Amino acid sequence: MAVAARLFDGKAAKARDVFLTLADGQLFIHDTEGALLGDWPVSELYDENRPTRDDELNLSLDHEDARLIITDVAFIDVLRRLCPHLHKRRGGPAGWWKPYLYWGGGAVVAVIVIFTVVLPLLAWQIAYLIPTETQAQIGQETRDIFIKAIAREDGTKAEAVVCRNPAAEAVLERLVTALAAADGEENPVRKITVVKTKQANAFALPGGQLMIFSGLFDISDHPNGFSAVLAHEIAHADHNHPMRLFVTNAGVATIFSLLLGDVSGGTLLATLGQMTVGSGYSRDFEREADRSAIERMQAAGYDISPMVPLMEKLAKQTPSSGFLSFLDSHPGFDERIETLRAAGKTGGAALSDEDWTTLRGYCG
Amino acid sequence: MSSDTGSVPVVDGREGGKSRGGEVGNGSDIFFEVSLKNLLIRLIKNKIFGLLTFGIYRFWGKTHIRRQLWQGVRIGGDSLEYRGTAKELFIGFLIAMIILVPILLVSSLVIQILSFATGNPAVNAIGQLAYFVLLYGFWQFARYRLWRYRLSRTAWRGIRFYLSGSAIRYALNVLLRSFVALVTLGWAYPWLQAYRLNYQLNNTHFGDGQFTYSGSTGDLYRLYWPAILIAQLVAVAAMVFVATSGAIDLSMEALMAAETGQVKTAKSGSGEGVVKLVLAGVILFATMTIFSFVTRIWEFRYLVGKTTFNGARFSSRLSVRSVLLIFAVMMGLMLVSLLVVGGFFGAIIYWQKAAAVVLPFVLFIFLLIGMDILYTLFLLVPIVRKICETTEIENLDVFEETAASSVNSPKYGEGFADAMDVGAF
Repeated sequence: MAVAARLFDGKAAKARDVFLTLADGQLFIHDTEGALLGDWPVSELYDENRPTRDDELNLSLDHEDARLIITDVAFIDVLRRLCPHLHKRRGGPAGWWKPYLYWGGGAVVAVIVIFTVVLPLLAWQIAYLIPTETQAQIGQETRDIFIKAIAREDGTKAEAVVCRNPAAEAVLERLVTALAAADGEENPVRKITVVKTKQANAFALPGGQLMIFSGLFDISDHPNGFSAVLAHEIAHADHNHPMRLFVTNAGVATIFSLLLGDVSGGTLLATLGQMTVGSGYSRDFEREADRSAIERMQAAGYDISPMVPLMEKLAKQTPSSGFLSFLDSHPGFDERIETLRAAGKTGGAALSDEDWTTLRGYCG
Repeated sequence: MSSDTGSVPVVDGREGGKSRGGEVGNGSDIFFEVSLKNLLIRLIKNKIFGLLTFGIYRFWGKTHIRRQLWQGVRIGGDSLEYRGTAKELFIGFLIAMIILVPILLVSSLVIQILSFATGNPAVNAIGQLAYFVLLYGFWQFARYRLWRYRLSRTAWRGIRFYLSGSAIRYALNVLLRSFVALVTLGWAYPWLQAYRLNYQLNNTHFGDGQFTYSGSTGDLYRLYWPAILIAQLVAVAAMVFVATSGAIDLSMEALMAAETGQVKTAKSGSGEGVVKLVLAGVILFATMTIFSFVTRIWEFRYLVGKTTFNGARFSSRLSVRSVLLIFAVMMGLMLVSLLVVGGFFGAIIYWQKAAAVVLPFVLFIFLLIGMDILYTLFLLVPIVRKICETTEIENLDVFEETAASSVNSPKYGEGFADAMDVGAF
């Protein structure tokens, strides 16, 4: 039984009318004159149609371009039964995995080098090059955003939440001077803003701006706990961490958006990735600031150990992020408390009782 | 068809007297037939695997989709076949990552360093512009490479297509002409389009045969001038309107008031200003969109009519109305699904406050997947189908005389294009 079919030999676009016969596990292809054009082993036949069609087979023999188009439904059924992997995918040629290995390895190495070496180095360099005035401006604007947000929360005007208290300011200034690094600051603290709010927090912004949320005074039982937090933030400012983080995040965002392409939820994944990697950098910064804070407290002759109960209080207030902890910008509280405990008793009280009372009354 | 058809923006459907029934099955017909069910299953699979593999699966997903779409196109009774592999896309992407990431990272950072180091806002602006130009150039380059890859992986009757020419030369020329088009407020745009069509189409091969495009810049001007003129008139009108009505001042005030939370103290009438401004923007955008849209369709008919292959001629009867209808249906479907899904999730959040933490993420992913599926099934497929239905080929037989070309096809494809989101599917 010979079945009519069409053969595209991959060399010319003209279809050749051919006749097919099956014998000994081979598909014999004859032209209309009866000349043998090819014998394709049935075990090597694959259907290239995706999705498969009921009324057509588009057979290939190997990785070459020749195609055999069969539309005889009865013969299609015969071939479906005979060919073991007609509708499966043809395996790759020998050594198909090598480009994966070489280029994949290269890409992984490139990405790792970029994240661990190039980006931090560039961020440091750029943050260093940005003029002080620009940094101050960025810091100023960020500060104003925070003030506005808090004012909105309390339902008051921005001016109302910024505390002014000359006596307390003087105490704070003395404390900052005492906590300055022994060899002088590279990026000194230029401005401290104390904001009246129940939240307990303190952070450094670009351009030597420090912000203290007055809740921090209330939660600190001992002047040294507060002083240690202050030392930590001064260290951030000195190492220009806020600006470096700012630049790093921009770089990380670029890389992730390139890596993920147009995948659905790509933006989400990119943000997640950026948070993961970005917070990794920021955790390193926190560790550096913690170390520096201990050194500063020690140099000033202040005892850092009162920071331990303060940290424990903060830990209780902050809900654990559980499995999302890789997103945290700070190292775990346990780790930080451990570091502090290891430092032991490093000196005496940072402030007299009188000064501490003045400072705690910063916002009245 | 006569050589000047299409040089005049003929309102659709009038040219070509053949009845639809007469064309089907006459051997010179193109049609597009794809199983929406298979496509939908494949799209959903792609999305799920894509999310699970952080996007790496997209190369395999794309390849599967293309095989289905390509196979759906039947020319003279024979399907196109997509012969690309996911591996080629993936390796292309890896190569692009190794080259592209350092280039983009370093250039963006160098620009930042330069602008910040001088502290001059003008330098900063020039730096941003330079970065944009670099990206735009890359994008054009990637687009050309993407076309080359896709054509070289497209086979019909056992013979592959191919795109010759230099992607760098193309990108530089487009860059130059885009700049001129920008400076002339759009009046050089047809000149840019003429270059693109000329370069791309005249470099397109099927086997050892080559396509020829014989369109002229003048004809494109004849197609484009209404759109350019109207866009500019609308832009000027909007500017005059905004300037005279003081809408900007008022809306700025409204914005400031909103920002400081002092809505009550804001001058009355500022809300009106915002409405006017938004209205002006909407009118401007809608007019430009519709006109560029209509012009695109005219241009498409024109370029098809001006393209020949060894004596085979092409013509398109693609009508503005049919494409607009497809878009309208698509927009309607999107709106409805947005409302339904948004309402559903909104209700859940309303009744179950705790869900507000996780649900927005779920909603976001859901919408992204949904929109993509809607786009493919109800915009891409209908438009391709419409294009195929309305295209005629005269002398299809000459294609049979084509032999395979000995030109090597690119080894790895699309890496740059993928990394920069060029290309829809």
